[in-house]
Amino acid sequence: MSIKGTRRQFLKTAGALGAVSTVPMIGCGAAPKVVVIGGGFGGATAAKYVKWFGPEIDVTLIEPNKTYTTCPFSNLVLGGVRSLASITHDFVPMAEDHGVHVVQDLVVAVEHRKKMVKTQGGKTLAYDHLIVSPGIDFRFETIEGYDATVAETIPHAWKAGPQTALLRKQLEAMKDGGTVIIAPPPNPFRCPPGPYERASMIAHYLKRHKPKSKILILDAKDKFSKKGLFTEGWKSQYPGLIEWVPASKDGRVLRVDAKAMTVHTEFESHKGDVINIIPAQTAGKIAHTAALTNQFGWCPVKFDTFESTILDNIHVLGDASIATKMPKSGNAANTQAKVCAAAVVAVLRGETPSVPTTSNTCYSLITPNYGISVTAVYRVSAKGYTPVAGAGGLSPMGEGAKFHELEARYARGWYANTAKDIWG
Amino acid sequence: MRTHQPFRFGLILAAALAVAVPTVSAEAASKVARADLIASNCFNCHGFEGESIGVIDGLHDMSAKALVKKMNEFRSGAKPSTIMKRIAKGYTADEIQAMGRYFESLDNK
Repeated sequence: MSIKGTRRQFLKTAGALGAVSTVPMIGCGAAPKVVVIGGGFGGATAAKYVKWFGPEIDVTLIEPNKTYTTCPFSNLVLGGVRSLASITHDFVPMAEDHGVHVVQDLVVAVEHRKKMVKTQGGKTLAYDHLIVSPGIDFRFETIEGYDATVAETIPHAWKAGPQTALLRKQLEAMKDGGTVIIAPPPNPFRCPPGPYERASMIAHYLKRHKPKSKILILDAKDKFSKKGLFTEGWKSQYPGLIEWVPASKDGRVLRVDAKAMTVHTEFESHKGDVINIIPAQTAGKIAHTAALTNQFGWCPVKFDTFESTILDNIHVLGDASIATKMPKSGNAANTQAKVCAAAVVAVLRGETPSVPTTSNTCYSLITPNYGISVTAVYRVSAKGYTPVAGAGGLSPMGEGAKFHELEARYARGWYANTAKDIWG
Repeated sequence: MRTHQPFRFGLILAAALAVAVPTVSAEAASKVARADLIASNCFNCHGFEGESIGVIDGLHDMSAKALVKKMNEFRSGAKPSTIMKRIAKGYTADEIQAMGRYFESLDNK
């Protein structure tokens, strides 16, 4: 075997050696099994990186869809600057280049005592460690008149794919002079700056194609991520186009009337030509089914390994987990998955997991050429993840076009490399 | 994916050949994982194993010395940046050294 071989070649060679070693060996049992639920930012990263850190481990990724469409950059699809295809990724490299078994199925039950999962398709898979990265589900019950069926006409578009396409289609069909209502959720929720980037990208489209139109943001909160930077950008790029109404000024949407295309706050009603309701959120369904959630609907974890504090040998990553100061973002899920993968490999090798340092970098686009960012490096303690003081933070206020143009370029660079890091 | 780490490669080889070789050194494995884990924070923007496919510079062909120097220049502001100053200030000198060692170990120089 050439020491200059590629990792891909190596995996194949290791696989061949593995086949030989299926004969029972003294002091070396069958390969330990890791099962990963969910092929998004957390799950796909975890599957790939368990193999990367521990090629001897048998890894299976279970994901119900053939492809994964990312929420990051889905606002660019709404703005007409990216296609859905360009933010949709398959699992072929996962299987062919990284040696992960990919199963297209839905996990319907976790049998913790037996260390097994059961799928809708009737499969039973045994694991030594289970990694659960189910993302979010919606608490439709928090808004009267809104549910999964109504979402077919008034989209949330907070899971990317058909919902994104639907909202884009509605924006294209809207008359010039129309009102687009965006109703962001209360904390905590997936992608804190996301609703405001969405408003920006829709504004980019309206400014060019339907300049008499307006965006009304009816918020369940009084402040939001990167608020100063968004406000500065909206003022210079879209004067008068975007109105933001905080919860304290009666912004919170309580009821939706889909037939009348109106939304109701405590004291007022607003008519929209296109309405985007982003409901309050909770951990993805399987986290609830498997009893991994606390009374608030999210999953408590040990911070150094992302192992559930409720059930042993089950790890929860990404939006569904409680990672203290780390936001519910794709980048955070990705870095958490690497920590979790390294810890699982260490434990399976009988070692102590190393102390993690994680990071999050989050770009938002105000126009395709105007980017802003927030970043942090996190250290872990008994209290959880805390950003390093004096580091990280927001893009400075008052920067010129050159700075924001560079941040927009780096946002695209981040997307390309992050997608490859996960699904490539 | 053209690169791999020689020392990790050796480790994997040992693991794969566990038929003949009793155990992998636990200590060595942990040390490797720590450097890898720290460096993997860089991959989001700079590419998997430091190989960038976008507009952001790759890191796979950097020496440890060059990486440490650059990170220190970002920290001090001697080298202007949009985001790297904010990021570089978050890591300890040891962590930056570990990142440097990781990228230097890639066998594509």
